[in-house]
Amino acid sequence: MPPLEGVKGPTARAGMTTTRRRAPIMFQRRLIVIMLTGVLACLLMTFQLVRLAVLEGGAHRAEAESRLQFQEWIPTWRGTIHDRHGRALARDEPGYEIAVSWRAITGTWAEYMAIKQAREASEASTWDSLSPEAREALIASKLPRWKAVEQELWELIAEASDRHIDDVDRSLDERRAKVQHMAAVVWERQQQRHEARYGDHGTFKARPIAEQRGFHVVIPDVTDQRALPLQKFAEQWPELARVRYARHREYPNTVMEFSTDQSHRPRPMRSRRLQVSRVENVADQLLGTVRYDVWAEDMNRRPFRDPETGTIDRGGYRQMDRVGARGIEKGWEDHLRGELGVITTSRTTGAIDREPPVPGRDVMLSIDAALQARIESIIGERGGLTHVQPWHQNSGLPVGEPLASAVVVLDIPTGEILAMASSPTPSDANEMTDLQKQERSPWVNRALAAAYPPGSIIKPLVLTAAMMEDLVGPETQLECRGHHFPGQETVARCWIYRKRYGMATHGFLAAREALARSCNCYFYELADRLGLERLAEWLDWFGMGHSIPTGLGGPEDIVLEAAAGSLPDDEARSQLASKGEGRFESVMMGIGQGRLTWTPLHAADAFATIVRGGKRLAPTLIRGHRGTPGGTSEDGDRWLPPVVVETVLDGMALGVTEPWGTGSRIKYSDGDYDSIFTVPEVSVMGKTGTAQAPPWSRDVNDDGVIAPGERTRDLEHAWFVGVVGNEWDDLPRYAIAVLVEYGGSGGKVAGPVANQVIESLRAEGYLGESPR
Amino acid sequence: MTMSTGYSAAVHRGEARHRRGLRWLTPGWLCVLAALSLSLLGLAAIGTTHPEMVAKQMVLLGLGILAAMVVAVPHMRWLQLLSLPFMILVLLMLLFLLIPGVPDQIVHPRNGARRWINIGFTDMQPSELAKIATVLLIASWLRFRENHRSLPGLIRPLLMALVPMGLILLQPDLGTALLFLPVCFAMLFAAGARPRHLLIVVLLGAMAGAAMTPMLRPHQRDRIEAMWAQFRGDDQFENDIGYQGARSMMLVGAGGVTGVGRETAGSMLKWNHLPEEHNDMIFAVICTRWGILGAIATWCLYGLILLGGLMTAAICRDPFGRLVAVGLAVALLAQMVINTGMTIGLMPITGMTLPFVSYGGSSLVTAWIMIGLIFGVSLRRPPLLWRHSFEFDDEESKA
Repeated sequence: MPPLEGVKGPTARAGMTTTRRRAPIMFQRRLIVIMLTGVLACLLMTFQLVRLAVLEGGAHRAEAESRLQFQEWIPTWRGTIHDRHGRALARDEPGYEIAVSWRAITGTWAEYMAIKQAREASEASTWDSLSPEAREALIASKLPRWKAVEQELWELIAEASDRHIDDVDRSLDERRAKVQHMAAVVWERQQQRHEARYGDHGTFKARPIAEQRGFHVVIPDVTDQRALPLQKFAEQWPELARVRYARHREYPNTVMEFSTDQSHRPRPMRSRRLQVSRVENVADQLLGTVRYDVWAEDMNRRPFRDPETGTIDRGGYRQMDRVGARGIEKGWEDHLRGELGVITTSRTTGAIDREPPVPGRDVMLSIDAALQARIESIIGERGGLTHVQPWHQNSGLPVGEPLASAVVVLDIPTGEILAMASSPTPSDANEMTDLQKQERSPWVNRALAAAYPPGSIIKPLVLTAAMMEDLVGPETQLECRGHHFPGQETVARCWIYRKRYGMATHGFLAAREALARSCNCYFYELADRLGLERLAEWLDWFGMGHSIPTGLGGPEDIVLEAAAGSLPDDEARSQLASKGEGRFESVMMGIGQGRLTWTPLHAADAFATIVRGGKRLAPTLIRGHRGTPGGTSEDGDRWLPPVVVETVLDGMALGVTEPWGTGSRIKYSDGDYDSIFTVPEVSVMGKTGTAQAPPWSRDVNDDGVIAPGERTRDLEHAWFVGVVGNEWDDLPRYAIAVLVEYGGSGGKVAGPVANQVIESLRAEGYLGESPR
Repeated sequence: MTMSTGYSAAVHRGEARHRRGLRWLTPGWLCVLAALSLSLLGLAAIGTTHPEMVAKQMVLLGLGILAAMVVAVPHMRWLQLLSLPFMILVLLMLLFLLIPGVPDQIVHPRNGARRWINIGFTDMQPSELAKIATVLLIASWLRFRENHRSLPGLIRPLLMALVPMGLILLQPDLGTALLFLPVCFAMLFAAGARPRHLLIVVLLGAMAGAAMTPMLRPHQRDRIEAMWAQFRGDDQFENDIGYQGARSMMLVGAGGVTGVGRETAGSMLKWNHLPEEHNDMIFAVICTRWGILGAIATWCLYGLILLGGLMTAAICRDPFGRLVAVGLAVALLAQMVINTGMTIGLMPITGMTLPFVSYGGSSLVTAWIMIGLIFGVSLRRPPLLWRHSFEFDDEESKA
C-alpha cells in the first residue's frame, strides 16, 4: 500500500507550510519530464526549420519570388531562307493553328462531362448511395450529348484541314499511340531514376507526362477564313480546342516553271520547240522542313526551362514548338529559331517589363533556285536523260530503266555551290513502290552523301600531281603498249587494248592527248612513278577522304550526312606495302580504281581547285559561311604553276572537242555521230569517267522481291566532270560534276546531262551574252 | 485510509478541503499572457493576407477571453462533477455528426469531412469540446486512483480517450484524433503510471496502427506517402497531393531567418497560392513574415503556456486540478507541434489549427477556454488539508 500522505521524511509534516523548499516530488519530476519532452520536440522542429530557411532558404526564396511576377511570352518568327538572288525559299507566314486538348483526343472529356452531369443531376448524397450499375447507367444516358460535341470538333477539323473524317481519326489514333509510347518510355526512365535514388519500388507514382496534359496542335496552318468556325467552337468549349495566332512555314518559290530549249539534247530527244517544264519541291533535299512536334531529344538539347535550375532559355523548346527537320532547316535551327519576347508583369507593383522577341536570323543559300529547278528537271524522273537510252549501250540494264543521278555546279572563284541536285528525291519516294525505294534509295542526297569510285575523272588530278613532282613535262612522251606491266597482258590494261577495238594501243602520247584519249597506260606510268605515298598524299590534298563542310549541317563545321569518300590511309598503305601490293595499288589508283571513292561534290571541288591554281576553298551552300577544307595537311593552298593548269585544261578541252576525245561524240547504232557539247560560245573542258561499280541489288527477274544475292553485276557508273566558261574568258568559271549511277559510258550518258546543265547555266545568265 | 494530519482554525471554518479566497500571484498568468500574445500574433498574421478578417477575429478573441473568464470562475470541484455529463453531451454531438441524412444546413460538410454543427450564428466543432471533455473526464477518473499503476488499470482511462478519438477519426479528422494520444499519455504519466506500462501500450498501439494502415482512407495514406516523399526531397507529388505541403515548406524557407516583412509576405503568400494560409497554414505565414526568429518566438510562447500549466499543476494540491492543468497544457502544446510539424513537412497534412493563432472561432474560443480552465485551477488556494496525490514509490526500486 503506497503512503497516502505524500513525501516521506521531514518535509511531509511541513507540507502545510508551503514556503519551505523541498526536493521535487515524483509528480513534479514527471512534470519536468513532460516539459523537457515539449522542449525536445521544439528543438527537433528547429532543425527542420533551419534546414528549410537557412540551408535551402535561398532556393525557396527565389521560387517564392518567381511567382510574384508573371510572364507572357511573345512569339517570335523563324528566319527566312533565301537563295543567292534573295528569293525566299522558306519563310514564316501569319496564320492560325488549331490545338486540341489531350482530353479531347482521348475522348475522356466526354466521359468526364457525363460523370459530372450525372453527379449534378442526382444530388451528391443520392449519388453516393447509388449502386455502381445505376451510376453507370446514369452516366451512359448523359454521354451521347458530350460525344456529339467531340464529334462536332472532329468534323470541323476535318473540314478546316480538307481531310476526310476517317483521316482525322487515323491521325488521332497515331497520336494517341505515340503519346502512350512516349509516356511508357518516360515512366520507365523516371522509375529507374527513382529506384536508383531511393531504392524502393512501391512509392513511385507515374504522373501524366506533359503531352498528356496540354494541348496538341492538330492543324498548324489555317487561314482566318477556315479558322472561323473553329474559333467559334473554341470560344464555347475552351477546354477542348484553341485557335491561336501562329506563324507557319511556307515554302514559296519552290514551285518553278520555265521553258527549256530542246535543241541541245541528243538527237532522238531533240526538238525545235520550247518545252515548258514545271518543278515542284525545288531544293527540297537542301531546305528540309519543319515539324510541329517537339521530341524529347529537342527538349534535352535545349529546354525552354531547365528542369534542374529552372532558368529560362527563350530560344529553348516548349511543347508545340516548331523544330527544323532535315536539311538547312535542321542544320541552321538555332540560327533560324529566334527567341521569344517576354512581358514580365510584377504582381505586387504592376510594373511591366518588356523584352521584345528576337527574330530568327535569315540564311542565304549559295544556291540559285531557278538553276536548281532546271537541273532537277534535267535529271528528274521525267527528264529522260537519266533513263537508259539505246545509244548508252548499257551492258547490263534494259532501255528505259530509270537511273539515279546527281549534279553539282560550283562557282569556281568563290567555291559557292550554285546548284546541287540528286535524283530520285524524297518527294519522288511518294510515288514509288517499296521495291523501287529499296532499289533506288530516294532519301540519299547523292551529290554529297554517297561516295563512288572516281574512275577516269581522277586522271587530271594524277597528271597535276605528276607534273608538280616533276615526273613528266607537258611534252613528255610515254608509250601505251596496251598494258602496263611488261609480260602481263591481262592486268592493268588500257581500255582500248581489247578485242572489241582489235587490241589497239595508243602508242606514244604526251600529257594533253593522254588526258583527252583517257589513255590508261599513260596514267599507270604516272602513278607508278609517283608511288603510293605521293599519290595518296596528293589525292588527300585534293580532299579525297575528307567530308566537306558545306554548311548544310549548320554554322559550325558539322558535316551532317556528307560522305568523306575513301583513300587508303597510312595504316592501309603500310599494309599494302608490306604485302608488296603497294605498286599495283598505286597503278590502279592512277585510273581511279581500287580503294578510292568520292562524291560528285568532291569531284567538282577538286577540278575547281586546279582551275584556281591550287587555292583550296571548301565548297559552301551558305553565303557568308566558309568551312575549312579537308585534306589540307600542310595548311591549305599549293601553288600550281600556269603550265600545269594549262596542260590539264588543254587536255580536258581536247577531250570534248576533238573527235577522238572521249567526251566529244555520241555514236548512234545507225553509225551517225552527234556532238555531246553543243552550247555555242561556251568553252568546255571536261573529263569523262566510266568507273567499275559494285553490283546493284535489284529485282532482276521482275518477281517483285529482291532475293538475297539477286543483283546485276559488271555495271559502270557514268561520270562527267568539267569546268566551263565563256569562250572569251581567261579561265573557266563553273565546275560541273555529273554522276549517273550504273549509267555506263561517261561520255555518252553523263556528257549529255552536263551539256544540258551548261545550257541551263546559259539560260539563267551565268554563261553567254557577255556584258563586254 | 487515514487523512493527512494537520489541523488549524481553518479546518473549523470548514475550509479543510476547499479554501475560500483566491491566490492572485500564480503561474496561470504565464498561460494567460502567452495566450494573449499568441492571439495578437495571430491577428497580425491573419492581417498579412486577410486584413478584412481581423475585425471578426478580434470579436472572437473577445468572446474567447470572456469564455475563459467564465470557466475560470467555478471551483474545480464543480467541473469535476460536470465532467461525466459533459463528456456524454460531447459524445452525443460527435455521434450526431455521423448520422447519415442530417441536412447540410445543420451538419455542414467541408472538403468531405463532417466536423461542424451549425448552431445559428456560427459553426461549432464538437471535436474541440471533446478535447476538454476528455481531459476533464480522465482527470476526474484518475484523481483518487492508483490502479493505473497496473497494466489493466490503464484500460479504462485509455478508453476514455479512445472513444471520442474513434468518433473523430470517423469524421474524418485524423489530426484532432491524434491529439488525444499525447494528452492521455501525459496525464497518465503525470498521474504516476509506470513508464514501462506506457511503453507497452505504445508498442501495442503502434502494432495495431500498422495493422490498421490498410484501413486508412486512400487520401490519408497518400498524404503520409506524400509527406515522406517530400521530406526526402522527392518532388513527385508536388503538383497534386503534396502540393500544400510543398508550398508551405517553400514559403517557410522563403522567410529565411528574419522574414520578408508584411508587404512581401502578403504577396508571396497570395501568389504562391498556399491553401488555408489564414487557417491551418498560419504558421507558414509567421515564418514567411517573421522568419525563423518569429517561429521560435511563437514556439517559446507555447513553451510558456506549457510551463505555466505544468507549474500550476505542480503547486496545485487538488489531484483533479493537477491533471486538468497537465492535460490542457499538453493538449495545447501537442496541437501546436502537430500543426507546425505539418507546416514544415515533418508530419502528414491534416486539418488542424494552430491554437490562438489560426483564424476561426471554434479553435480560438476552445483554446481560450482551456487557458481559462488552467487559470481557474491556478487561482485556487491550496486546501489546508490535502492528501498527496500521485506519489508512489520510485518505479526503479520496485521494478
